[in-house]
Amino acid sequence: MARLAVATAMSAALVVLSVSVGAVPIPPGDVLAVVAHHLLGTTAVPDPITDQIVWDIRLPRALLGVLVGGSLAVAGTALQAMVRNPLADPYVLGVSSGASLAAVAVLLSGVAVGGAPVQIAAFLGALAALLAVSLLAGARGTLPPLRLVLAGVALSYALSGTTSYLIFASDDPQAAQSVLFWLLGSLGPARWESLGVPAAALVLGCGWLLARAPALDAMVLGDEPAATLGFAAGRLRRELLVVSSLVTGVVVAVSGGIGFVGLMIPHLVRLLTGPTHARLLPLATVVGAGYLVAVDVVARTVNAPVEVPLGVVTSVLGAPVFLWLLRSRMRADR
Amino acid sequence: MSLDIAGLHVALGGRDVVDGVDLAVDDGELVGLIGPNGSGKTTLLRTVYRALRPHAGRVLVDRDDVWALPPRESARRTAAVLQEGGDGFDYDVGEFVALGRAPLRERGGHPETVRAVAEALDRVGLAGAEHRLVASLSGGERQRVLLARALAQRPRLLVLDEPTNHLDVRHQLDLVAMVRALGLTTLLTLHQLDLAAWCDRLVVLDGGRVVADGTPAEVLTPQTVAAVFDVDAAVVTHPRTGRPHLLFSTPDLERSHPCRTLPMPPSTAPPPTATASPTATTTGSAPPPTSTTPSRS
Repeated sequence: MARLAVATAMSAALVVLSVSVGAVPIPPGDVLAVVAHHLLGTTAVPDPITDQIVWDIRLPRALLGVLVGGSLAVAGTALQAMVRNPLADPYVLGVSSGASLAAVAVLLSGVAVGGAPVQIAAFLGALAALLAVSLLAGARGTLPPLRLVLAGVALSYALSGTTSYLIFASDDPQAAQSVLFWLLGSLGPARWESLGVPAAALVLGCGWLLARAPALDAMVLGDEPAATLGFAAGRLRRELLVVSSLVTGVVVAVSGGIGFVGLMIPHLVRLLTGPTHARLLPLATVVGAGYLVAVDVVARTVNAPVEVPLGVVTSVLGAPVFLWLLRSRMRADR
Repeated sequence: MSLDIAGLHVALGGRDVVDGVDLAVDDGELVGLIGPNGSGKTTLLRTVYRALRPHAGRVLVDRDDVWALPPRESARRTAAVLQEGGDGFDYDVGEFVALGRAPLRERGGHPETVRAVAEALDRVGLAGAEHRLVASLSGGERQRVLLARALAQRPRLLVLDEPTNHLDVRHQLDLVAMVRALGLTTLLTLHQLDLAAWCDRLVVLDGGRVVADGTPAEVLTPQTVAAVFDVDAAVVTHPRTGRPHLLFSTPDLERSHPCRTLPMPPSTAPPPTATASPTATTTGSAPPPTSTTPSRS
């Protein structure tokens, strides 16, 4: 509980930091004043321009970062329980690529990023990719680590290749350019209106997983041990498939492909909490949220004024962690 | 508490793995299920702990059909120790054993959970091990932690699938002693026929059918063992415990590796009488032991 409070406070501080950093630096005190003005009706407004920058532009973006980071951590936790494998995450398994391909197909037909058709397409794409990778990796629900990762990577390449083809074959270079940037991960288009669906998906996904926490704990042991503890693993796995696809699809629809967050965060948090989901899930959500807000700050400042795609930053930070995990897991399997 | 299996039939991959089995375990009885690989032992167990639905027949636990019960209710009556799921992942022993409370809808940290976990660990001789990582335990300890998780379920029927696999001889005997001491209605599969002698009753499966059912002395006969396991067996009575034990060989082995120090007895000869502690079968100048049939280690 104490850990969760500390993590929440740190993530909140990162949100304030994220809002104060930018082309026009705004002192954290002013950020808090604007937020207090809007939420509590306090009268002390710094000035209209500060108010506009904070409330209309930067805060929605930071909060979208919170939702995206939290959702990716939740999706990663769910997938890791589902395939009983800590190497799983939406990106590694090709789920993000499936969502991206479906979303790009819709986007190139002229629909705006974050719109309902894109979200639905991304969800269906994620679901299809997850089904495909499960079938490819095979072996009755239990997916051996290496086979799973190989199947995911192969599927990921195939889907990304198709996505690239769609983009380059597009006859609207403007749209292609913006889709390409979105694909690498960005919180750019954030507005207050675009927060609703991701927030609902996160609350729904996290709530469902928390309600099923004991079943997830048992399922990690294997389908048969779970059965001896009174849980039907088959049904649970199908539910997990839908929930993690939903959360991943919604996130990809608003922010593109951001890799390794769903892999890294649950694993690191598990080192603190152990694998019990009732403790792991809330902390992973909060840490994931804070992490992505921090990544967004880095993405905006490292090459300012040009913004680096978020997926670039998370990959540079996440790939080494992934490799380290792969190495230590394989050693443990011998 | 009793287990009643009637007319059980399971087909897997087009083969009748369990082919019309009737089997009963009475209250407090320890029944061992033996038979060669592929005889249907594990498949039968899976229908009891509700992981595999039989194609025909009934599994009654306490007079209720397991497959008509909700999964959680079944898990409150029956606990199982399986060969799978003991790797522990990142669980510590306390968390791992507490999973056994899941059928009772208890969440972690519940005082009753903490007490049940401590009690279960105490019963398997691992009191105070709550904070060790399952992955760091030895094979024998891990098997006992699996047993503790089953006990935390406070089951009325205990099912164990080859619980002594991969254990050294001391740990095998300890585990059997531990299970016996629990006094629960128990059904377990065993590979080592030596250990089977410690069961109250033995049921022999072959080709998915029951071919023998009785006390160890009635079942562990050279005729049954030869028919089911296709090995030559000699029965000796343990000089101290009085329980029947088997010494194994095959005609091929006896022909290709005849005993050099004694004339070869025909394999159908009456079994040698029991000898206390036959010395190791090393080649040397020491006088040969009277036991001529090398026992399988």
